[in-house]
Amino acid sequence: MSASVPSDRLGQPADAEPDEHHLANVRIGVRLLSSGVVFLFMAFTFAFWYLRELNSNHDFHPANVNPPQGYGIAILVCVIATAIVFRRARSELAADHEQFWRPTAIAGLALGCVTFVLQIVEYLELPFKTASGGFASVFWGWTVVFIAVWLAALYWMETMVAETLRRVSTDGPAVPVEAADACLVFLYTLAGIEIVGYIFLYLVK
Amino acid sequence: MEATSLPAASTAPPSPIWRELLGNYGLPWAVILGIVGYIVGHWVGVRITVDVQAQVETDQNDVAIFLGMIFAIFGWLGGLGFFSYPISRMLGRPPSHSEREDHGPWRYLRLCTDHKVVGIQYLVAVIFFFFVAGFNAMMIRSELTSANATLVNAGNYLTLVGLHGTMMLMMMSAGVLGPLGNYLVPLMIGSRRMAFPRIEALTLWLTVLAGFILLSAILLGGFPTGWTGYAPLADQARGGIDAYLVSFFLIGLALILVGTNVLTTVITMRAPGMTWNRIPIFVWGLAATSVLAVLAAPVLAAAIIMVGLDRTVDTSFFQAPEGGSPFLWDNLFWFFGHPEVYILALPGFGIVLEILPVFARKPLWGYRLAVAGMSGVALMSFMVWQHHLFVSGINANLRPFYMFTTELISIPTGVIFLNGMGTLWRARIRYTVPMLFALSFFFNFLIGGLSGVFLSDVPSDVTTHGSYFVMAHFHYTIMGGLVFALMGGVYYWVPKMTGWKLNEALGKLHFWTMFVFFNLTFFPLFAAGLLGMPRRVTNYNASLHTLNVFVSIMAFCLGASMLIFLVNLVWSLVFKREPAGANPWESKGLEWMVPSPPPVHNFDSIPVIAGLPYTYGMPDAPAVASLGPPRVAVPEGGAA
Amino acid sequence: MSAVAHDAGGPGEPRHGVRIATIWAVATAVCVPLMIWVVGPHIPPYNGSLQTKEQHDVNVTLASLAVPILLMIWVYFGYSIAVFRQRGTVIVDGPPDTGEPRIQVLWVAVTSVLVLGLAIYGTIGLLGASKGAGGGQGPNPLVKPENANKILQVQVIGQQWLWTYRFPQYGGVETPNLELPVNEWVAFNVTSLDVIHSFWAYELGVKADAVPGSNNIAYAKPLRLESFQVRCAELCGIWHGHMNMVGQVVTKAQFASWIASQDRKYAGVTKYLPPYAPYYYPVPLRRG
Repeated sequence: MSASVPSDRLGQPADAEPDEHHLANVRIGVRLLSSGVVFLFMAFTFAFWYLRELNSNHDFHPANVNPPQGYGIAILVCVIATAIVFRRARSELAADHEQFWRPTAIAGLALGCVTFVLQIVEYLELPFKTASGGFASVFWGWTVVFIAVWLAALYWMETMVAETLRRVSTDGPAVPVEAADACLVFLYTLAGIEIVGYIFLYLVK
Repeated sequence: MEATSLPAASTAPPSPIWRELLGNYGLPWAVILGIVGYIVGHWVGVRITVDVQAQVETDQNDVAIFLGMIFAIFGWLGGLGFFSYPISRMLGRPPSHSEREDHGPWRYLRLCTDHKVVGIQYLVAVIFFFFVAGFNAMMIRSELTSANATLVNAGNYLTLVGLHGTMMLMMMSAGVLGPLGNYLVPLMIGSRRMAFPRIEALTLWLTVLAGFILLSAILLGGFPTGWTGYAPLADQARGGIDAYLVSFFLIGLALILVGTNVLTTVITMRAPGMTWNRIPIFVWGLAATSVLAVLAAPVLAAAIIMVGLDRTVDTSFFQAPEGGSPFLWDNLFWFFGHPEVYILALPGFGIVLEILPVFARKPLWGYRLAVAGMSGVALMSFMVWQHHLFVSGINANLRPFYMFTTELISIPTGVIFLNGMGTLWRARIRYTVPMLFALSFFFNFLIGGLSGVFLSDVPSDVTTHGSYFVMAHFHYTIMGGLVFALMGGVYYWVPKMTGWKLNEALGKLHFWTMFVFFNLTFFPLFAAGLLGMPRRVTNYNASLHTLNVFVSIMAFCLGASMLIFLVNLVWSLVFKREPAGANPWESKGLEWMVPSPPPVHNFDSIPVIAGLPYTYGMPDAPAVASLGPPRVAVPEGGAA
Repeated sequence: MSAVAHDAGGPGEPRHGVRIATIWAVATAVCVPLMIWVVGPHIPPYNGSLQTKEQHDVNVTLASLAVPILLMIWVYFGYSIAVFRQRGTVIVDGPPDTGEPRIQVLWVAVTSVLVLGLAIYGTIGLLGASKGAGGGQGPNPLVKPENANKILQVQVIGQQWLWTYRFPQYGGVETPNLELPVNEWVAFNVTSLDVIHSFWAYELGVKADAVPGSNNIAYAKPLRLESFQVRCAELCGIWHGHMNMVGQVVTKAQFASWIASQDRKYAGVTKYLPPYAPYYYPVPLRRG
């Protein structure tokens, strides 16, 4: 008895794992991970409201602890802009306009990098350090974790841009549209978290 | 028509050992680069905190320790070769789907994306750390044979307690998801691999690293908080707690990733014909566990980050005089902590309900109810956490509510007993070792669960909170439940994984000694708690001396029974090696339709699923799946 | 190649259900009274206070409810293991039952009713005469004894690794000893100076976490003239297990003279203590 299915170098038949599985996996996986990230920030949200409510020793928010509003707005705008620009890039990709996908995706990545730089600069310019009460603790904790997760989003965008820049063949889209979709889901999640964070850390305080 | 053949065995001469160990990415390089990373990171940390009073004045620089561990993590992962894929992606190479699957024994020390290899690596790691933590327990019980005198000093005792608890919890959280989940889920759903094979390997190696980092706490002075890590004691503790924090963080990360992986696999990669109501109950149990892992572990990660910040840069998340609150840790930790214990318990339910039909020769009774029960437990586990805090000074208005939700969760938990009872009704039971462990689950978990009802009732909880009663409760549910179920799963599935049978007589000896001594060890602890013995103490009332000596002796016997398990493993898998065949248990599960051990690609062609794998007593029912034509290895030059 | 057709169970099949139910009923009829009247009185905690009485009653009730459940599972499984076995060498399948919706619904309904009943019972116990069953209720207790402000207030201060007690109604004197008058309500205001501890007065049935920066109030009414053990029930560092002391329940007159003697003994210290407050903020804990 013999089979005529061609096999790859590991002897696996060619009907192993078509690409659709991979993209479906990425689609589901990003939603699960995004849910996890939401819960991560729910913990910081809880910390913010709980400590604010308790105001232990009246030291949750001492008078001189004021986050710089300018940086707050700038970072918020950059995060949202990154998501919007990347969404635009995705539309170009889906419409098969690779010549527009490429620069738009690069612009999105660049905006993401600007966000990162802005946050670092804000840390250097911050009028209060970490040992300044409950609010300062939550501020630093939230923003540090956010920027770490943001780096993951930057990595993701970078791999798609790099893959686009490196490709030699012209068949099909540079990257699968589903991959860009998945990255967008992650970006939207982070944008939502940033909006909530902005409201808590800069408006409500 | 061309005949295809499986790849011929390599005829190249075997490499010398040193080249196998050091010529490739693998565990040796991971260890070396991990240690180097720690040294470098520690040095950097000392440099950047040279002006920081708080770190310089103590004899342990937390910034240096944390930085050292972070560098160590990168060194470890780099040594295993985990960075080559991200780097190649950042350079623009497209994602690769064909994995570098080696053959040969050395792949067990490396990054291997064959889910079966990862499963076995996980099993070895879990068993290893289980025995380390068990040894700690033996030392704890040795100390407790005396009501006053100390065998180990007070600080070391607390470190032993913390190591035992944390290591058991860390390892057992992934104790089923890791070894059995990774190995069996693709086989049981008719797939060739998990959704994210590289992440799967990552979770394994993070788990192993976390175990070693936790053990390194010994070198850093130990930690005094036990596995619950209560701040502000955690803020105050010496450097060993940094090891606890980093290792628990890594396990949290691994939990999130393994949960994502398992759940995605179950959602997308089921074979054709496997609708949601044809998924084996074991896989359902793991799916429910994965939901908890993905959502609860991030909260732990956040809480750990907060303690880390408190210890390094002087934030005050948990310092009441500076605007923080110890209640914050209480709430965040237990918001994770309660789903965590269901992460431990649910896979046990899945294993037991999977094994029972095979040896009762009856279908699983009430499949949909079992699924509903597991889902109900998973959902409700997020709504009960304050029962750990009944006397902590939380808002008194909340106590009746959480008492209610905690009692409510016993409804879906109790459903599993109905499933067991229904499956055994007029069954034809075979008393193999896996069946014995599965049956004992019901005995142990019943006692554990009923004691939980006591604890959920606030007036009763006032006496028993923080006492040995709680200890007995969770040992009955987690050890009596999960560990016994895991043992049953090991005895059941190891013949599939290795192709060799485990010795039945030794297995039965292991079972009976473990079962008897487990109960004799932990049942008296209910009394100890009711009689006023707090947890985590070396000092207790002289009137409890005899009871403690008795318990310690029984615990030593329990430890000895575990050695029988080890002997069985070594004897059966290294020396005796009796072939098991594809289906030694005559099970109708899909994983039993492939050879033992399964080939690298699992199935010659993706099966088409016909129904649930519990068609016992239905002689006309088709097999659970049709596998398609087998591929036969054809010798070189031979015709079909 | 594997198992043959199942055993259909003909008319000669014994009525397993009836047998199991009978064994269970007999066992229950024997064991429940044993639990209530023979074992029950020995279940701790005992009668040191109103609170321990409540806890004891709850424990006996829960144990008596647990017994039939335990017996049901044990009898059922025991019977199944003994009776429903493979006989002979050829593996035979059992009947192809996959479920019976009515039984499932009945089970869920019965367990739901039981659980609801337990929750109501527990709430009544909590909110009833024992005024919180001795557990710490936080700074705003839900249930208090009458005239809660006028009863004896004892501030329990936990620190690494010692309990001290402050009496605001007696000049704010702080002492490491504890005596309480019998048959009088006492309010424990539990707090800590450093890490989380837990004040556990075993014979009084009181347990309340001592959390820095917060006041945790628990009520108790001692009923017997006896000594009581105080332990720490929350891991608080190296000497957690040594944070023990013994208190005493005495008559009202003895208490009055005792507190006066403590006042005299510690008078030199009292004037240096910070004013009495529900909680205190000493210097923040040194990290790491």
